[in-house]
Amino acid sequence: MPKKRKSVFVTVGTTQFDSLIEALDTPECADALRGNGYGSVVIQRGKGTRELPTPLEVRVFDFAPSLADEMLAADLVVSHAGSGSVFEALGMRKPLLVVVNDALMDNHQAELAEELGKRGHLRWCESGGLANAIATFDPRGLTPYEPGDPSGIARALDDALA
Amino acid sequence: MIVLGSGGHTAEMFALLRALSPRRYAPRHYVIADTDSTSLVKAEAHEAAVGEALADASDVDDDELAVSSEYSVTRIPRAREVGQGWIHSFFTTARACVGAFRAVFAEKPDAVLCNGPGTCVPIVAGAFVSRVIGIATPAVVYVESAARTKTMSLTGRILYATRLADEVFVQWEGLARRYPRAKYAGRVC
Repeated sequence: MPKKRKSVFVTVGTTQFDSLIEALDTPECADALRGNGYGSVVIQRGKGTRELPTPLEVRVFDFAPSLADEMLAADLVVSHAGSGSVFEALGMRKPLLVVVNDALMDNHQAELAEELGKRGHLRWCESGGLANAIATFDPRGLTPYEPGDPSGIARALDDALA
Repeated sequence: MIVLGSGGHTAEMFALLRALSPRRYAPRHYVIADTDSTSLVKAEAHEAAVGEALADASDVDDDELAVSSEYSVTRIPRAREVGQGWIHSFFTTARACVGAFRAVFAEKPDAVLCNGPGTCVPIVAGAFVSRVIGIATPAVVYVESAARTKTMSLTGRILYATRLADEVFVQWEGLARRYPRAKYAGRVC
């Protein structure tokens, strides 16, 4: 019996990150995806303009008020390094591959991916390493992220503003 | 007064707001940059949920319900768009400051809560000026984004170094060690 083809959700949030979409649109990347059992890709491309003629089943949209449903439906989330998308995917316990945008001037976003990567919660790469990262990504090696608890800051705020 | 930004900043702010009592922190005034359309939707969704929860609570009477569910939204011009020239930037920054000061002077908040978007600098400056001229005494609380693990953002460094923020929270232990006056009390997300 053939295995069910898995799906990937790619998100760039509110940014423009065409080099991620370009990296997806390579034979190496398509091979890596198919080789790992992925059959469909949903891409939220934000302000990007690139079209995507990959050999996989592809659906593209620019923005949506919430990406939660797309994330929930995916077997793998490939995300830009923005904290909103990263924590949303980790909160859903989705296997997460973060692509750091090396074209950003003040590239502090790499900090978050590095820190969470060091703790084993996600894997990260740059656009150029995407195909390799997909090919060698093993979600079973990840450590689930325990969501943060805002009540600590809330209590401190209650005290500070008493 | 709550300053909203885009993307991750707004997500983190609502994670924190959900942990704060709406009965204690009311009325809530949201400030949003006029080019930001998603934060408004998120603020309305949050307030709708708060209103429902308050209406369902058995210990909240009608008067308290009205007070605790009150909120407003002010839109102010954005200081600077990406790729804008310096002279143009000067005028748009001045316009953003006028909008921010006007919002603070009108609402006279008891506290200003912000977490990083560029819009919060003119708002915090407005809070400072309103203290100097004696029309309000807002406490300023800054929560650095969880995206910053090693260094504070430019906004965070400005508010920390000038002491314009009364309280500065960071969301990683290591970052708190680098800034002695900053507090670590866990992460919101």
